[in-house]
Amino acid sequence: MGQFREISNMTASGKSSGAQTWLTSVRQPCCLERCAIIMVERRMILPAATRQQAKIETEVRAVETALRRDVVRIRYEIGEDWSGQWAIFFRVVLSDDAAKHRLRETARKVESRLAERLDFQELGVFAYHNFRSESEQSALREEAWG
Amino acid sequence: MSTAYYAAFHLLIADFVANWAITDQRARLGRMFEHRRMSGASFNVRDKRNLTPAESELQKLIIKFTKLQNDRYEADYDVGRKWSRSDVENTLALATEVFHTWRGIRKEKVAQHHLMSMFGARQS
Repeated sequence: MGQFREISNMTASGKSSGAQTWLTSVRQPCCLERCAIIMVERRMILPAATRQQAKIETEVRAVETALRRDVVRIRYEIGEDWSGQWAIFFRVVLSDDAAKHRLRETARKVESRLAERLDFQELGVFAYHNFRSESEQSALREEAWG
Repeated sequence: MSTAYYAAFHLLIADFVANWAITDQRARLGRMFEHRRMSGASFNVRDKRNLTPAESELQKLIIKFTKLQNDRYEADYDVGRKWSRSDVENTLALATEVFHTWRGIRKEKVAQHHLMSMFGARQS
């Protein structure tokens, strides 16, 4: 009991309020004994951001260039936050000087420049920004920030 | 991280329950707040493209509060998450800004209405 197997692949099932609805999986229990067949269906609504990755990439690079003096690079990914809401997580590597002497000022600049160029509400995501300095990244060596 | 978030969390709750006349019941009322509901509360404004100064400040506060909430969750439950000093300092600064912003708008009608939404009350 309790063993499940996948019985369908990802299937597009239509659009709803600007977001694509996907039927991600339909599972049924595999058991040799007599048991009720339980169908579990999970629908995932993908935010508009997933269809506008090229635009996001362009705008993020533009912000990176505009703030080159303090910003080394900006990485990002789209996913769900703690509450299951769609979000875009920005990972911003700052110059050591900016992180040490004007952290909040630079962080604010990055946040507002990104918000000017990307309408997060329209993209269906909440924007989270995380920061670390170049030397902190050298010590932590996380690929996602590299 | 957790302390920074809870400081902001209790700041908002304290202001909400202060409106309740029966002092002995305020703590119980405060415990009815839910984290998820607080960040998910809808922010209703008359004109999205033309926010009043108070609405604009409140919007910034909501964004910061939501970020604090996510940071707190990751810090408390994601053992794989690595925090840098810069990230932590930025989060602490956000909490401080939440306090400053709230002091400036707490008497505004829109701010008090939003507290009701955070509590779970529907918009009339």
